[in-house]
Amino acid sequence: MTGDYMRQLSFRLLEINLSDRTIAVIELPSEWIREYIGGRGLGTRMLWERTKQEADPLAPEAEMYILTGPLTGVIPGGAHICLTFKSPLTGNTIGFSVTGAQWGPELKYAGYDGIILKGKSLKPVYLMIKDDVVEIKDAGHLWGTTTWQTQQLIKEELKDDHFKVLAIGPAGENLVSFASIGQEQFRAAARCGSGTVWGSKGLKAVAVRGTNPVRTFDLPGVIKARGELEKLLLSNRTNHPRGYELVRYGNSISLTAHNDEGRLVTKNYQEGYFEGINEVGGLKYDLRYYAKSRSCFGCPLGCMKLGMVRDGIFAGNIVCPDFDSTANIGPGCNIPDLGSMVYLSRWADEQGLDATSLGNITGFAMECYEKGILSLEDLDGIKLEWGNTAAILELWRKIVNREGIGDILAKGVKYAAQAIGNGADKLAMHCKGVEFPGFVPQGGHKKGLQYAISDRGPCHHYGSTIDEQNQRVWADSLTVCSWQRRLVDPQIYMDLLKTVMGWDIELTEWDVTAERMLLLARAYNIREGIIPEKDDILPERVHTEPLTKGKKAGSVYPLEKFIADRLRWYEERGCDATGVPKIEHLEEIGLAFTIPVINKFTRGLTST
Amino acid sequence: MLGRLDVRYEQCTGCRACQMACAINKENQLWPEAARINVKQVGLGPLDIPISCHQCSDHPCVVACPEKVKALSYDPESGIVRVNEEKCLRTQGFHCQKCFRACPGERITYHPKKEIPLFCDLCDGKPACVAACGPQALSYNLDPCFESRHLNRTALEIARGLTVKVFGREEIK
Repeated sequence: MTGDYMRQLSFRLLEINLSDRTIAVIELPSEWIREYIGGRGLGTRMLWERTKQEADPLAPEAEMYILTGPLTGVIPGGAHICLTFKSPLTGNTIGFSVTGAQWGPELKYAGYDGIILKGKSLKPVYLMIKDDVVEIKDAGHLWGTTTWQTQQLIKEELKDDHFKVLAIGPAGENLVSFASIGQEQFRAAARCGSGTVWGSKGLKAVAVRGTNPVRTFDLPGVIKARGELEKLLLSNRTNHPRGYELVRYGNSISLTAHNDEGRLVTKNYQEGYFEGINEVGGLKYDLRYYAKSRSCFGCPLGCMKLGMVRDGIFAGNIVCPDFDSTANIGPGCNIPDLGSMVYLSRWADEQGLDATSLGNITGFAMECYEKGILSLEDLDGIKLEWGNTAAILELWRKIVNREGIGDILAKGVKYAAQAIGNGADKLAMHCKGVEFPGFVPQGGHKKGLQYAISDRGPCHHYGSTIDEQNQRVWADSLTVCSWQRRLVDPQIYMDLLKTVMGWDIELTEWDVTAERMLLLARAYNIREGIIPEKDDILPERVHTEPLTKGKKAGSVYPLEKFIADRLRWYEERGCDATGVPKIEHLEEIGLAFTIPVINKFTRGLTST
Repeated sequence: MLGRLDVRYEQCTGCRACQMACAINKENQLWPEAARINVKQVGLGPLDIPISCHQCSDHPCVVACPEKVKALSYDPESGIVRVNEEKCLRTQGFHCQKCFRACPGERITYHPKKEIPLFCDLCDGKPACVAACGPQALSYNLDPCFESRHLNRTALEIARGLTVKVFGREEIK
């Protein structure tokens, strides 16, 4: 081993300033990588260090970090990238969004571990990265096209089908607060308004093509370790129940499972049981529409189920639904028809919208209409009845174009509820300003707890137990698919990190590192104005309105139980009773640099 | 005679594990771009089409290699096309694409650093890509009929047939 290979590997990032169009390659301090691994963890660290307190998420100086992890492009299923930024949907929390497919590995093969985006271009641009060649190109002709069209047009323009393209759609351009960034047509980094940040920077797309090998510390060791993981995953296709489920049905099959448990969003969280589940569930999709499976990079499971709408008014449209993109749109808006539900989910992908937030907001508007809070006039004549697909599409066009009622809804459910008034805030199911995803907290208390405590706002990607949270934050930082957590022993990742990065790392670091990453995000939120005690809460409906149907009929998530659960979690995570990390604990896990901010915050609390 | 790589295109999930396995086996690197098999994404979906040398018995690429160069040769024993790296015009800086243009399936890719054309040699009868393929889209077929030249088609041609096969119609949107 010589030269580069003798030392531990560092991270090589592209720093792109869209204001003055400068491009630089920078290396991060190696202790950051060692302590925060990559992806989500490292993104949080950079956000803390590189951005000013209380900055506007859509201002030119706001930054976005698109980061891979040490295992991206190396192991099967190591395909993900984590986009970290300040969330434009909440305005005062961290936002991160994860997407798989092939883009991350391609960036790795181009020789970069991540991209820092900052500044703001006056004219629309897109970024072209081909190995050492990095160019900011004009995107005037792409502005206004859907994410699908953009990907195709860029591949044609660059005359290479192998480019992997991340792109925003019209929703991101028009600064809809929950716009997403899409790739490979159906894959999106959707949550928290990632596409909005791009739209504000005038960035339409990033196209990447890499033709180099991955740099590693100990190549024979890596090849051996990844070979073992590959063997394990190959055998999991058939001998692990979760593995087989993903291979056979993908994850939209879990619509039915969660419905059986009485926790599937129904009619804007009024119920946890959807009676029409057999008409829209994963089993019917498998029988009627399924065409073929697709995978992220290297993954032998292939959980994305590509399909074709074969009947109804949307016949002939290609679709690829999963649980998160359909739960809020289908049962959440009471759509009883599979073709409409999966097409609507595709429509959101095309236009570059987060299907989860969009479904939630649509359900909210429908309930407002049902209860007379929104009149036909308020809705510009759209008859927004439960399950009315034509009305939904009409409303969504208005959201994307920011017209009339669409302009109000495009700012997120929290803002919309305030703007509409008249008791609408009781129907807005959000936490910290981010819309609830597919579970009803009354039907699953654990899900409810994680909605409240999660740093980026409600999501079931945060994890409900300490163990699950640690696994998930590790997965997003390594980066690997978070579904591997049920299939793969963490020791395998440690062996891989030893060989890929040359680190002397033991499994004992697992919990400490995870806690460091999670509490840093919590400290960041506090710095930006979140008051944990007041903001780690659930909407009132969760505590007071019992479900009436299904297995969990009659149940609520009582406020006292929620407060007790939250307190227990605070204690387990080393926080005090108000949800603020304890000073001595911050020191223990290597977050001493956050202490001044935390001290200032607690002093501010006691003095008021 | 060796067998042939048999691809069930509808099974391919586009994960590129085959490319990684090939690159590890042939280049000893994590380097999908240098693999002898290459998964192309075509059209809506997108559809994933793995493409590699089909070892045509009439080997038009070998015929097309310029008379004075003859960097390519056909091994009738195994059916493999072999490359003489020193003779190939591309290693001398020329942008020759004669073999690519002759290939009925436009299947030839070039090494990203060494520039030479890459031909699948079936790993002497134990293809690494087949072992790595989770959905079993790739298999090793020993049936002598399978070498038939008409199976060497371009990714676009294959995708056209595959669209009808998996989606049940020609026109999709």
